Amino acid sequence: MNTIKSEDIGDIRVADITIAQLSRGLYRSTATAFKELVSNAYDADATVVRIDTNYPEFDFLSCVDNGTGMPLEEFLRFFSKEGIGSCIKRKHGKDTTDVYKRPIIGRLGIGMLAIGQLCHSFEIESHYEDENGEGKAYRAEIVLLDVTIPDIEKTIRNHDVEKKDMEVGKWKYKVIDYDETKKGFRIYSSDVRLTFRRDMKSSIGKKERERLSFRLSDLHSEFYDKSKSSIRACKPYLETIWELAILCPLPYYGKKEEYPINLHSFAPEERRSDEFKQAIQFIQDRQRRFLNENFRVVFDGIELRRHTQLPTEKDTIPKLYFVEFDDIVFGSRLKFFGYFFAQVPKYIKPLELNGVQIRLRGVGIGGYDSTFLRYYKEIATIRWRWVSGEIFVDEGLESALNIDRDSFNEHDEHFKKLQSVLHEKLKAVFYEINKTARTTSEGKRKTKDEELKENLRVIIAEQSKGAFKLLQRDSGKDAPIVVVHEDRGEIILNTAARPLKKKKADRIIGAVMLAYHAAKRTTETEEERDNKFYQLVKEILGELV
Amino acid sequence: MSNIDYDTYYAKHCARYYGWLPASKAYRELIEKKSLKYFTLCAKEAIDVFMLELEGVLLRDQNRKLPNVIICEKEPRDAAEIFKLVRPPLKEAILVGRLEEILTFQDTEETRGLSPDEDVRSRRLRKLLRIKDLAERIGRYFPFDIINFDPVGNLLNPDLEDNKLYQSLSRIFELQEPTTTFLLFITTPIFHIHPDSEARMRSNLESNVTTHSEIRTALLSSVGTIAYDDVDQNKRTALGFAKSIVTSLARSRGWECQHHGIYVYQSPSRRKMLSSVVQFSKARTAPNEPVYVEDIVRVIQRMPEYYSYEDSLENQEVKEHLERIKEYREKVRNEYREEP
Repeated sequence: MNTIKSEDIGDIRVADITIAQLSRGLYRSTATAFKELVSNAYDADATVVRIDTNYPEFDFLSCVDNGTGMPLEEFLRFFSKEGIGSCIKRKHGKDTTDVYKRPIIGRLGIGMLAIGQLCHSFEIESHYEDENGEGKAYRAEIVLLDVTIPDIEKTIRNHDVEKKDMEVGKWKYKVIDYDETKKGFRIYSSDVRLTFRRDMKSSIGKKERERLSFRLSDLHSEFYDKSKSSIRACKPYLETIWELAILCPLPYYGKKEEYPINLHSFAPEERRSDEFKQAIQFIQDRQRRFLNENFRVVFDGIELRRHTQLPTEKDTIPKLYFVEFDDIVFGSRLKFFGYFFAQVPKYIKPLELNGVQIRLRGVGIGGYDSTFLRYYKEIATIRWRWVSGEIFVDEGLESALNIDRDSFNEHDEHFKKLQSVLHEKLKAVFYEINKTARTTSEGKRKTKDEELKENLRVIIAEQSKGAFKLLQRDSGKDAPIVVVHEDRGEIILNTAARPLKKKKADRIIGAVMLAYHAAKRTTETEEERDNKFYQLVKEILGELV
Repeated sequence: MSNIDYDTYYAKHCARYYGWLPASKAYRELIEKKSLKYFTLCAKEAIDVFMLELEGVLLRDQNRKLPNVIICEKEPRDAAEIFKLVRPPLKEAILVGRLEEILTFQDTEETRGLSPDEDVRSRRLRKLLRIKDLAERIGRYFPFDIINFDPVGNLLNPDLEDNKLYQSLSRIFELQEPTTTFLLFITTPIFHIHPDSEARMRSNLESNVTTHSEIRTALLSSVGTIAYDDVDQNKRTALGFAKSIVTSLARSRGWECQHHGIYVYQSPSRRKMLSSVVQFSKARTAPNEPVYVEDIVRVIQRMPEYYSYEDSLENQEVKEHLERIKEYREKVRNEYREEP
């Protein structure tokens, strides 16, 4: 019998298998999984969260914070009643945390399961105060069923796909005595996934173990080691530290005047510009805000900071641009600020700093996007590799955030607006840095030409013992490349001659001809001439090539 | 999980300060090594590690890391606390697992032929493979210069052969085989001694006083009796533990003992604990009787020292020393802290 009505309305539902997949983890990298645990601690008003991986064996994980903890009722709602993905952090329009008034990061309530990406089972312990201020605590064990890829495929391919309750694991809890010194939330696991362990261990050979220092300044030097163009060269363990630091809502590393942007590297006239002042003011305000949030992340004993150091290269012309936007887009407010930094004419190194990072509520969404949210116009040039920027979205855009909190739905209206504002700004940025690059290279070329002329003049004068002086002039493209006026003691190099119409080759021909004529006119014997010619060719080509 | 606050447990620090520390220093001088290799089952406060570093027994390397220190912690919850204090600078990973399970691990049908690096779906098998991994790793770390065998558990269990702690101790003697000497701190609760253990200690002493006149003489001159039950309880337990547990096991594994000290102290709940500081040397041939007798006589004459919980609270020297260690521990932690 056909039970399908000819027309109907209804709610759209999500199959349990989709939710089940979450327990296997949905995060791109180790750092993004850790980021979720850090975000939970941040939302719980913790002042410190410690993550330990039991380096260099990586067979044990712990994440301990001193926040408000997770009440047992919430644990039960999460694991038993409502299920994973039932977040109440923002219930009743709540937007900031109670104690430090931090912007609440969590929305969906799946962050805790990030640990499931790194281990098969884990224990939690929560010490908290209930609504009456009474201290309570419990300990729980969560064993995730190994929903591996073949299992999911099997489910998809057989009748189980219609099953409503998809079990993803087992849990048990026990009420324990409240301990004030342990107030907060703790996760531990000895049941670490080998994929995580192998990945991390592959970074730490005997050499690395001897060399690796856990001081922040040493780590910073490691990240900015000139012999490495990418953080990838630091291998997975350090890469995880870098990435986690850059994603978390943390202050920048280093002193105010030097990090994240070294003010002393800018020309005085640049520093006087309003845009520069606005950008610097903004960066310093954000740094103050992060510091005031009183939030620390300690990873294997290392206090994390965002390691941004611009410019990354010496002998560059730095430029700084300010970005701001605040308007209603598609019925809701979109508000963001940020900066673009450019260093002309050298690549940003490490390349993980190249691009733009969008920070939503202080948290990095993905790393630095080197396509600048798909800014195709300039993608073909090398100049995009000179730019780094950060955009802090204070309001809006959250609906564009994908479930992994690491990327955006690119068709979301807020995202589209952000993209177009940034691309508009980038047009101006690239226009100016192109101009700067051209002016700089023109200037450099002129200086180099002047130097070259002078050096050739000195060589000819010295080698001919003052008998000839070198002149360089435009004698027309059809005139000989070198003309000698013995009576006037002049050797004239025709700068317009283009025998092969190839700049470098023509210059070499000019150099050889110069050497030939100078040697011919300043020597007596054939042997002397050979030696002089050789000397001159060597010296002139040394200058030219 | 222990709820004792070791930061204010001065009675235990008496054992560290008067026993472990001087013995470690003397041992370092003796073997002429700059920095010693140290194994510990330290509590989450890691006081012993910081004490030995502060006092120069353990040294940092050029990267300010602490090499050659291996910590084993049975409670994952406490491991997270230990990390807070020792990471960095500790160079090696912490062994998170029960030492007795690790040291007594033996392959079963299930684990034989499986590498700890094997991906398995059974949680139980993963756990076994994890212990196997820890057993292999700990085996690679041996031998040590100093072993601090301070487990939560009782070595005075009646059936020693079934006592995993006792078996672990036995395994330690095996794993120390590549070296010729080492120092052991061995701690056990003594507030409840099983009658069988007591009987064993009693009978051992009775047999000793018959066989060795030196022991008989020493007992008479020190305590005025050779009857086990007439000897002061602390003393007879210390003597019994030294003879029937430590010396007996060591000799069976080919090691000679030299007791540096035995310390009986009270825990915050006023229960008695015993900590022995013993140096072992590889026996050249068969166990040497004169060496054994000399050691037992020394135990009778000089040991144990006793520290009540209350008295230790008044011991300024010990309190100040513990304070210095805590300050030093905080200083080490702050070395890695980024100030705004």
